Amino acid sequence: MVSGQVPADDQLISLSKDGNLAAFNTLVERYQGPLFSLCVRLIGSREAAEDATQESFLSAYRNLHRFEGGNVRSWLFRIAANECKDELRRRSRKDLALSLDRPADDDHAALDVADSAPGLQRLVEQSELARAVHEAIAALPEDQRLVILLVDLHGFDYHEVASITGAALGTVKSRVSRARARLREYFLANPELVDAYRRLEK
Amino acid sequence: MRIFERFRKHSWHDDVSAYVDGELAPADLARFEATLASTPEARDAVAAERDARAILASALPDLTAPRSFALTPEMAAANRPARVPPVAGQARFFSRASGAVSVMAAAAFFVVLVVDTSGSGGDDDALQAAGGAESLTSMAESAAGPDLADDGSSEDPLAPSGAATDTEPTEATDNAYSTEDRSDPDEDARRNSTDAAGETSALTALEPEDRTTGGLGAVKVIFAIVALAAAAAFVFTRRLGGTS
Repeated sequence: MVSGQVPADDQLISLSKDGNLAAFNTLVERYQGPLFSLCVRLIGSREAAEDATQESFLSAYRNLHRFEGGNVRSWLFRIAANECKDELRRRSRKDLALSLDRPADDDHAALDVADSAPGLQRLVEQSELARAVHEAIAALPEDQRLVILLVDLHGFDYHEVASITGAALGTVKSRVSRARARLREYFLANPELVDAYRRLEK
Repeated sequence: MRIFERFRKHSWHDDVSAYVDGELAPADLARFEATLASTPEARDAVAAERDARAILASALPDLTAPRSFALTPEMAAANRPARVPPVAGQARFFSRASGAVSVMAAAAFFVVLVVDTSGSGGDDDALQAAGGAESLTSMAESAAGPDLADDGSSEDPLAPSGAATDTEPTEATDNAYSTEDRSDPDEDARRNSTDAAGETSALTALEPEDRTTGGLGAVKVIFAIVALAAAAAFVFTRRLGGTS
């Protein structure tokens, strides 16, 4: 690592493979926000998302030798997506009430807007919009929810999503299409959300 | 007709998301843009899709992690990265290496054999001396059973092996056999003339063997041994790879 330069992901992986924990933790710091975001929106519970995020990094650390090059970010997201699926499966088996039919934890919407928002009215609108969008996302089937989060929130292209989810490219395209169709219907049925969005964008 | 209309409608609906995401292949893109130009409904769908995408991105920004997920030394020690399993790694290497070596050795031996049997008689006696190698080769190739004929004769210790008998008999191979075994009168005459020059028939039989000790016979023996060893290693590592 050259001081003053931002080390590339694969450089950090290489150092981590040689036992450099600080290099691995640099990767953790780089991706813990996005991975936690994915987990919290996939699972719908902040506490479970924290556990899934931590377990994702532990799993990545344990399986460093399996990484044979490629996109580190995609690799970490793949691990996190699998952790979240496992968590959802566990929850489903235990027959716990999933929070997918409600906007996750009560503090979740507030968390989504915590980084911005001057003005109370704006904050309220953002909070309401975030809550409503979260509802719409949570109402999607798990597979569609994952692809739409990866594409729209994390900016992966369809090929990367196919690699992360292990689905065929055509399946990814179809899932994105069906998820967006549902979201479009949701927003058409709730035009005040679109209005709120347009006000916030001004 | 109705089926076609339904299919066409379904088709452009399917492409709306991929179009907005810039994921349409060139041919599909051209088709979709033609649809856009002629279908107001498609244009509305694209506009609604863009809104939906923008609202999502705007309403759900990346979250900051609620705490650090960095691994402590204790966590790292408890989740030590597994190394590449050495057995599997070595097996893969040896499998590939021995496979390559056995192919090369077999090819090289084949070339030597072909050159030897079809070439001039200069090295023909090599076949005689290399009977052991041929037998090894025939074992390795399992084309013919080992034919190490042992008739107890020190003058003619090498009966024609599988490889030699498979090969079309040439003058060279004929010459390779000792004079006692051959009934060809011309050959006998020639051999006798050699004897007349002061050499015994036993010496004639031994001479080629002596010459080939450091010649092609030895090369063939080495090739055959290498091929056999490589084949054995290949089989062994394949089994190893299969069980790991």
